[in-house]
Amino acid sequence: MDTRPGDFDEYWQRVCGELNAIPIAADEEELPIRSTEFCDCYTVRFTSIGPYRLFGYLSVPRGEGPFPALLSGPGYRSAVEPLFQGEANEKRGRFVVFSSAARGQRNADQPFAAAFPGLMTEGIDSPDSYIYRGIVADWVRAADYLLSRPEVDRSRVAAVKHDSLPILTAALRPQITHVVAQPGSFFQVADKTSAELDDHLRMFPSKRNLVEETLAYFNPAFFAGAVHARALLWGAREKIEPLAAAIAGEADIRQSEQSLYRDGLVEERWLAEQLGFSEPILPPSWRP
Amino acid sequence: MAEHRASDHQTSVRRPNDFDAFWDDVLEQAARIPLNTTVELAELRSTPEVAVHLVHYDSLDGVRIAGWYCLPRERSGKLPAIVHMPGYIGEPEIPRAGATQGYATFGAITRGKLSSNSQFNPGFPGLLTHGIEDRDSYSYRGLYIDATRVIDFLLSRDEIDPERIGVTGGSQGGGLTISTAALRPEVRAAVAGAPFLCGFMDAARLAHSYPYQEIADYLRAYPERRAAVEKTLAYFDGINFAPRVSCPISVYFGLQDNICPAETVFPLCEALCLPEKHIYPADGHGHDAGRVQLSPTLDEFFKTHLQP
Repeated sequence: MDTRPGDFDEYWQRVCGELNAIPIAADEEELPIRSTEFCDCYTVRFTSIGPYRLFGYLSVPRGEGPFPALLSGPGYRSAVEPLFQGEANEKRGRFVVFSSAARGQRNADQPFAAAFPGLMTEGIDSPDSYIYRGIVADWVRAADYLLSRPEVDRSRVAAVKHDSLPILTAALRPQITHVVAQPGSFFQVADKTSAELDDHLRMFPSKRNLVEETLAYFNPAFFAGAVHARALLWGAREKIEPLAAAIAGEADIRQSEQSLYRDGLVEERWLAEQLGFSEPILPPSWRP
Repeated sequence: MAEHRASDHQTSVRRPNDFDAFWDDVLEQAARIPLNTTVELAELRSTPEVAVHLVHYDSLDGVRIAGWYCLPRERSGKLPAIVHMPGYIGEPEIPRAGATQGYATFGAITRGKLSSNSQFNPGFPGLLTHGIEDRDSYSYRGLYIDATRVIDFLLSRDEIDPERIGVTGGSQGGGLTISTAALRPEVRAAVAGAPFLCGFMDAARLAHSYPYQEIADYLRAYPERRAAVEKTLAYFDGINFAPRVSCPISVYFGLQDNICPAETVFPLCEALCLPEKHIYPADGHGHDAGRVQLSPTLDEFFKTHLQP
């Protein structure tokens, strides 16, 4: 996975071509129980490659837009919420927030229901069968949906999640202006999916080369040159620096202090500043 | 400063007079249900050091529950066991690490999670308010029992020393650690991190974030049900379970926790009336609760009490 596949660009052009050929066919429905005095919430069904029907929560601030937007993509877990756990709900009154589920996750689990553990190695023996080919397409399709919303200020659209996928999305959709990411397994940095890869390789040692060949198509280092968004990258400086340097836009590196409070403050302040606000909206227990 | 402010908070939690009677009755109902256990070796997830098994058993309302059971391949004599209780939204990881340290470990997969949702699947968000209008229909009535049934499973195993069973978890896992230690005196040591399910109503007001936001959402949609919700939650509150806990316990939490506010954990710690309790409020920490820094201390606590 250290070598860029010769057909890397063609592979992703094919994925984008498949996306372009499929209407997004978004279907929104009001979700009053998750709406507040400062935002309206909707469930959204929309279509990705396959075709595959996906799901997401869209929160739109009340008042006069357009608003900056957060694409809160699917993390490595079964469920998505209208806003990441722990973030101040009032953020949904400042940003358009689209929290989307990829194929296999709850509410997008027909016909494919992801297993945890299991998703990370689903179809991993070939780049064409690997589940992440579809999941990356799902992220990109979620970005397409968000960018199609009239309430969104297209000069301020951030893709945010603590894995590599925001980088891949920003490379495939240059309209993404900001990225927060924490490169993990696809970048040879141990994360919660590493044990699954280890299990797979222990069970099928003869497939190591195939697995490495597949993962090379998802290595964020090979996407970095196409990322013009401003980026915040989490990770050990010595591992992340080459990636940050390769990103076409400006990239900041932060190393975790092993405190979700301190790390969270850094991230919220960075996002607020980058998206044009003097102060972040913080959860009450983080406020000075 | 943060500790001072959070510990000053007055909890609104009140213990119903029939709290113990309610749970004794639920436990009695559960005891009448055979476990009907199946244990299957999960070869893909096993390592040269640890044999991993996928377990299923029956719980309240006939719901089939799953769990990961890990055993060190090399062992002599009976093993101490540590039960890892699951968080709220994620899927439980396989607790293999403990099995390399001489413990049997069990990763509980309570109802609603992917491997235990064929009969009960309110989703996330959703689980926290499912059936909340009444204590007998509330989702956590069964979910708490799913967690206690792990103790029954362990007690049924020849390789487990029934005198050396511990329970641990973070967030919802911390809350389930409290309820399980309270409901099952066979638990001999407990470690609860950033406990969720404590001071529900206060947390729904203080946290401004999911998952407690689910309760705030529900009350905004159904304001007329507030009294019923409060009444139900009192039977499920960790603060009210605390007086029933009889084993040594460690509780750690972040003073800047944005998911489970410290204001809801201090009353829990106060309600734990035990000769041995270790309380670790971590200043400068959120929902991580200072776990990384505290790990050696917490590992030592289990070593002392469970003697792997």
